[in-house]
Amino acid sequence: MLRWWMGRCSATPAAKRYQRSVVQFLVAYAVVLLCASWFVKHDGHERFFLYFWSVIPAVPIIGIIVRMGRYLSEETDEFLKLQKMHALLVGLGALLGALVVDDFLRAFAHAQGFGPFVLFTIFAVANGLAQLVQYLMNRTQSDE
Amino acid sequence: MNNRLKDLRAERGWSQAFLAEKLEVSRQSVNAIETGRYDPSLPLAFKIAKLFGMPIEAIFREE
Repeated sequence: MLRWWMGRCSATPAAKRYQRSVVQFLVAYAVVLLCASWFVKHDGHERFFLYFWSVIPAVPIIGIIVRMGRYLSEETDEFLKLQKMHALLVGLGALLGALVVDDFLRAFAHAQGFGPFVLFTIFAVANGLAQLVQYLMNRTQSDE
Repeated sequence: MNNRLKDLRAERGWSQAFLAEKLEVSRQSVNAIETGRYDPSLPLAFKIAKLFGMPIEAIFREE
């Protein structure tokens, strides 16, 4: 399924390298997240280790963001690069919009704001939806 | 911008995939240019013109 999706999305060498890296980072994220959850639950009483295990799961995600930037500089297909940037902008727009709402909720309503991971999820969902729309548009407009 | 890419490709009996390979771009790019959803950069337009042996203005026209 993943291979099929990767093949359908794009065939440029830069995109393939990027997709491979993302899968590796996601596997690393899953492993690190499981380890962090276990250690925090069983051995997370010391303050240093609490901070350590809180920060560690973010590293693979930051890796994906950095890799995304590298992909954009490596991609030689200008149309695919533009589409990727559009999708990222949709994701960032949704993220910033949610962030502003969150800030005002905290500032004026003294509300708790969004819970943990909600903002990044908003970015990921908006970015994914934009890519899905692009994929469907590329499909419908294809004449071959 | 209008272009004659689809006609020129059809005249030669080329598929989008074949043209994409010649231009070293993805098939999605060729499709987007043909359907007018994307206007290529100047370097890519020159590459297209060179491949078809025509001046750029014979392939791309202002709407």
